[in-house]
Amino acid sequence: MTAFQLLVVFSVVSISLMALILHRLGQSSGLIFEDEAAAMSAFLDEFPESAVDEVALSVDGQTAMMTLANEPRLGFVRAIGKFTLARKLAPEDIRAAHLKGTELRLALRDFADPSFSIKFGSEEMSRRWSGYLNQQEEPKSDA
Amino acid sequence: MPEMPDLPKVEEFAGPIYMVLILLEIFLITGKRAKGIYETRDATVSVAMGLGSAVVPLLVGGAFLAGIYAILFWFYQFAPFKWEFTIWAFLACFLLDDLRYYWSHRFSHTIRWGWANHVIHHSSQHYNLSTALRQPWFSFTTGFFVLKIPLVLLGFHPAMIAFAGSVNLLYQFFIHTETVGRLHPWIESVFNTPSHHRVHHGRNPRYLDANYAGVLIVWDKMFGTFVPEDDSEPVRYGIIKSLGTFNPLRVATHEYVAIGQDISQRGLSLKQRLAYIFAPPGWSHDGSRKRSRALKADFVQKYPELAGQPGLPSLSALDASEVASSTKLGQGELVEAASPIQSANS
Repeated sequence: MTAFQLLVVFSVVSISLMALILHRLGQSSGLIFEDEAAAMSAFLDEFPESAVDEVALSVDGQTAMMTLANEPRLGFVRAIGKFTLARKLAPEDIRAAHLKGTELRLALRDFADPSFSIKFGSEEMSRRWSGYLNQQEEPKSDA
Repeated sequence: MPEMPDLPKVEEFAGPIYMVLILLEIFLITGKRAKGIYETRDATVSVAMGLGSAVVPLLVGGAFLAGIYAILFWFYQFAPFKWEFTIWAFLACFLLDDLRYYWSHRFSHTIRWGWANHVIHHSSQHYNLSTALRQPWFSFTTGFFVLKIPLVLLGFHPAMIAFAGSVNLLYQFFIHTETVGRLHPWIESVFNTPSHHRVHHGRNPRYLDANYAGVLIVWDKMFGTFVPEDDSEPVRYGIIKSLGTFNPLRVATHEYVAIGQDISQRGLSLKQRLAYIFAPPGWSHDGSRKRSRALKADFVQKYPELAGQPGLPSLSALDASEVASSTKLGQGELVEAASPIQSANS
């Protein structure tokens, strides 16, 4: 085995070991928003010029969707690791939207942010919030 | 031509050191309440990117690497004096290579083609020793190797320069941490430290485009890019538009894809297409995006009491840049965002 092959094998084993240790130490759980206000605060941290009308937090507390005052775009904020990622999405940013039961899946045109999903607390809620997308484009319902 | 000793291959013995120190940092953070944050997927991707940075160039860029080395050797024949490998020659080489690193690094932030490669290293919002290993895969494509040519012409053997660069990168591993606060003032004044490099990884407006140093922070002080860490403003790590993926292939290539999308827009002139490749990150033909100078200007307009602090423009500089910007627009030159300082990266 060459030194290079040894380096690759060592790296793969090391990465696996590190991931296992981090997982066992409880470092795999991403950030969770305590409530809608916390999600809104994280969103406004990135977009301080915006005003949020209404917020819906996912059941796992890791994603929130919001309507914005005087803006055609929808606001989203979600956990990425132990930090947050906020986006304003217009119809042209969304490649496809799928509603399946309480879960809304969005496929985006952004290569660096290709897709995410948000699971609502009830089908009524998921229908109502996907309706906001309907005002932009028709989501395909698999339900 | 002087004989080069068989220099140690830093990358071959550094791996175990990296992993031991990463595990130590994890235990200090999780067990001893040292400062810092780890997350499993983020750290795994970071270290995997490091593995990719060793493997990908050899798999897809072997010819490039051989070509670069051949070019450096070709220039080496013209060096009027060739240094033997002594400790003093190596120290001189290391010092000059550190200066070379400063400019190469600065260009990696201010030329989008370089940024497309280097952005990988800045793409995590976490900052710990694993972030140090989140390295680019396509450095052989940037063309910044040309900055090594002056060193070769000064008589430093390409292998000595390569070794100096490896030691430089080894040093930089240790400064990617929040666990270490500030070191002795003398050290902080001369060397790049965890504190200085935290600033470099910040996306707060005041921390953008600062502290490009490798080992010696004096280069930033000399060329006006030094910004000290401000305890009243904690560093927010990452890039202006955070990534929404942990997929290593997307992490490695996303800015190249963005460049491809930009240059393929309809109705652009050739000059505009080239600007999407070589202008600073954040440049756009219609002024719809913001470069770091504009972000700093926005920040100062919102908080004028902070104007003129390190990393932030003064109010008078802001006025001058607005005049310059409007003049450019009047001449029908490349349209820029609010002001033309530097790039919207970190």
